[in-house]
Amino acid sequence: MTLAFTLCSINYLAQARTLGDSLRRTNPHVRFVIGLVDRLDQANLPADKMPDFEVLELHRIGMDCLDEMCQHYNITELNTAVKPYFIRYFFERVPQVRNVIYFDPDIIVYQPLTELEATLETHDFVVTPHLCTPIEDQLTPNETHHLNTGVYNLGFIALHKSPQTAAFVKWWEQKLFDECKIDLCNGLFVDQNWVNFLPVFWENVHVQKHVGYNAAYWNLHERTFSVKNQIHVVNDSQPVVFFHYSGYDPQNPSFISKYQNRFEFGQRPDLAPLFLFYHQELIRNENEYYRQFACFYIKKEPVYKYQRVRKYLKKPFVKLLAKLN
Amino acid sequence: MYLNMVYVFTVCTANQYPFAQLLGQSLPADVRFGIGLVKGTIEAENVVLVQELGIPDFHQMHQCYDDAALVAACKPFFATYFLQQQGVQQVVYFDATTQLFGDMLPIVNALETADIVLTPRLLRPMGSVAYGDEKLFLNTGMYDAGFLALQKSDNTLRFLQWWQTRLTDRAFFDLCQGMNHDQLWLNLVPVYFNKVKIVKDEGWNVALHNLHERVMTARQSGWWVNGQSPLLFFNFRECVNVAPLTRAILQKSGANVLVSQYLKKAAPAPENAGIFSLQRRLNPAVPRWKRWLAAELRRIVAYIDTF
Repeated sequence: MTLAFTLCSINYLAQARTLGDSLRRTNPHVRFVIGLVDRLDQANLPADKMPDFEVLELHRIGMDCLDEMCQHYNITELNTAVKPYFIRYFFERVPQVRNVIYFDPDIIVYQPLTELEATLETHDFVVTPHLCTPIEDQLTPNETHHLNTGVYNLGFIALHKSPQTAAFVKWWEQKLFDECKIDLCNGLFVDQNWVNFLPVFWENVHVQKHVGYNAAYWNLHERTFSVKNQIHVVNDSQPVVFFHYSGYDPQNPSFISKYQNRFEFGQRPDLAPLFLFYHQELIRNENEYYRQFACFYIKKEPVYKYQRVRKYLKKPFVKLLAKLN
Repeated sequence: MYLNMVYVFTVCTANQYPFAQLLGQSLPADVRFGIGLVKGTIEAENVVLVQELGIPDFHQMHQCYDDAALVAACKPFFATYFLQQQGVQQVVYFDATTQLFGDMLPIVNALETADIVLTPRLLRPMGSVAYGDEKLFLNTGMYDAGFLALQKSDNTLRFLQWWQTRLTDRAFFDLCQGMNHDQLWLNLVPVYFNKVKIVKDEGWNVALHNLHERVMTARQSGWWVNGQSPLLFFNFRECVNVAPLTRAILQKSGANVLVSQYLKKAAPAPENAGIFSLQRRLNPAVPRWKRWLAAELRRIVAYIDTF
């Protein structure tokens, strides 16, 4: 059995529902679970706002170290850090699971995952690179950004149950317990940069370079889109298997993604059908309602006042530090 | 016989030339060996001065790069140059501080089915060891730029051109900006290019950063790694300037004899030859009182920020 899951807090449930709807349309045989990094009993969602999908809350997967992780992580870090813990739960605790596929909540699956499932019969891991071909300009994001943050995009990973997979997941858990942070100068970019090691340390890794997989703002330079017989097609040749709407905000629908400055919709009319559909789906799935929820696990950052006084007090120490270096 | 079409080369500055000579002496006598010189002049038959390559932006590269960056940045230009020599079908690059202990045949064989051969810097998870921990490798590179083997093909030339363009202005050592000379760029190579082979053999490219996973033993037949693989080549790059940390790592892995033999041979090289060591760069020798004072000052600043 193939199980697909996503991870989010309540504020992203519109995205998770949109993903779930797309899987239900295209892959009804896949069991879909929303891993919720939040507490439903604390949010008091009315019955009509409960997602019509299997929901598995974080506190139910039996993590010993959860409290400690909540102490040192913010919402993005925590949502990415628990990924291997969920994967392990699915492999070990859910009977009959042979394949586990992770999708970021802001993905829509447009095609049956037949080919992916076939790949998992011969490989233990499938990952997708951000880029399949070089980027010549130095706009954002360019190659040096990906070199700092990870070759593969961890909005997607697929694993086949095996001793190798279990070893990888265990290693990844250990890393993400306390080093799932953004600290580029020290090599850290949440869960993603670590996966550079996957094809180095483990065998049977398939790096999927199919341009219909994980199409997103970072690879638009090598992918153009069209609609043929009501199917989204990339580069006139391949169906879009799944599109990743990373950084798209339905409140700001004129931007492709808040993380890029290479393209605008004006230059890329080919993107309009894909994004128009996503926009409508998020509204239909009540993005307006969900987005206001704060995550139960994340403590509010304390606000420190008297910044100017602090700066003045720090001055001699900062000066001395600069001299030392 | 199989070596007819192979060109081995290294790239260095005039100060580092003694290391390059030692590399040459470790190679089979019948293989062609060239030394690309990016700074200074050496009169020798197998030395190619960077000026002969006519790199369009060399002046600018020379101005903004330090020695380590310049050596790294010129590598793909020299690779193209040696690939274009008459009758050459394969080139193999070694850092000047490398010694070959075995035969070239395994390397040439790897090129039978691949255009680009690389070696990972680590072969297995390590947790934290004296050298550092795994995250240190995340922003410095999965694959080691101290070695690469190339088969002449359009694919290879496309790779070299891609690397050249980037190293012309992005070969700095600036980990916060996704740059570690020429090396971090190699992360993208297996994704972008076809026929890339990653050789995971513990006898290949042994160096300070992977000694924690490789125990060296001397036998009648030569050096062996982990008792099961013959040592093919060792890069002494980070062993040239012996710090206490280096000494401990070498002791533990059994490589100290190997290294001291090498250093004895390398004695004629000037002490400030400028061989790049990542370990030294990241952990500069700072007196203990200075480190203590800096830590205290940082603690005070952090406290003022949050009281």
